[in-house]
Amino acid sequence: MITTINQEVVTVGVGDLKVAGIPKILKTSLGSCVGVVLYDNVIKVGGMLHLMLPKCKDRNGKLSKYADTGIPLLIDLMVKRANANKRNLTAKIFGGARMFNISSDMFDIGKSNILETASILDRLGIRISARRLGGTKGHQISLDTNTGIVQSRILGEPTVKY
Amino acid sequence: MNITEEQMKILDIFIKICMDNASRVFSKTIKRGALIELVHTQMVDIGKATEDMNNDSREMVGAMLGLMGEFPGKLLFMIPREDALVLQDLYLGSPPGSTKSLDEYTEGTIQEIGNILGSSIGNTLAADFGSTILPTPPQVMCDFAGTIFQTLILEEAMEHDELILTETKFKLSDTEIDCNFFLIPDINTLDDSMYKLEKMTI
Repeated sequence: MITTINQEVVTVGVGDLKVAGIPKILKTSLGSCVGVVLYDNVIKVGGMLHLMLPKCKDRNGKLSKYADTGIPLLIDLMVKRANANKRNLTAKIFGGARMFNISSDMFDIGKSNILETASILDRLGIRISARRLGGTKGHQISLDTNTGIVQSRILGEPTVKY
Repeated sequence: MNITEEQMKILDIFIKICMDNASRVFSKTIKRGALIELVHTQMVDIGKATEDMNNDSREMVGAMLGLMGEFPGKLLFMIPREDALVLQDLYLGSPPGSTKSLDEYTEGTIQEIGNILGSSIGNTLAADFGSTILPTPPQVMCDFAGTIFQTLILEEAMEHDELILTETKFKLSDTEIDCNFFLIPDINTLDDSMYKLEKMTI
């Protein structure tokens, strides 16, 4: 979805994505989900994907819920609809917490999301310029499309700018 | 998943009855008038349903529990951290302002309230509809509203883009506590649950 409405803060829901030019703040909260922030610093366009699961595996439904289909979709939207240049895009990734008290890595959705996200971005040639991942608490992130700076907040910890 | 307007009405009535009973039990527990008002029951897109919550920067405390049996689903009682301290004073009958910080007692209070609400729904089903459900032990989380809510809907959202969400608001007399209670019926068994509810209401 390209945001054209006159609203400064645009919130991205679970399994959703949004793209915005200036002056906008793109914001979301994450648990085991991973937030992928793409930014073109030449035309100052940002995109945010809130992915829930690593692979689509022929499931029906929204492509933006999965890393392997959501990340290409976000890039496509930014390039084709918002005129971003793929070569200028850099990624910042957040979230992927272990929200459930489980001992097996097999059921650690957060970790699977992180691994798949990094792999897809690498395959698509998008450099990851910052990351704050894992842990056992949720993240809240906000992208300022004017500067490309992402503020990352975890409860009980200081807000960090990337 | 297709749910008819008629089925949604039945679900709405059923949930209103459950909330009325939960209000009564909750009022008795805290010795103060409590009203749990139904905001809406509707089929919502998961992205849209979570947008507002993902914008909420407050620290929240939530008690999440499952409902097993003939009307499976999940419940979440969620309250801002500051209001949880007020609620603890009410629950323990302490003078206002006695609880200064969130600790295991506050978490225990929120857990207990989750239990009360889950049991009220179970008791309503048993008494008014002759059916049984069992609530699971509540799991307490302290985090952002969006993070807690995502944990609630994760399983449903893995398989579906939409879910049925019942949203309620709590009103307590003489206080301005801002808390929410969400009920999410299991969408995979909803047809079966609705059939049972329809039969019960005839």
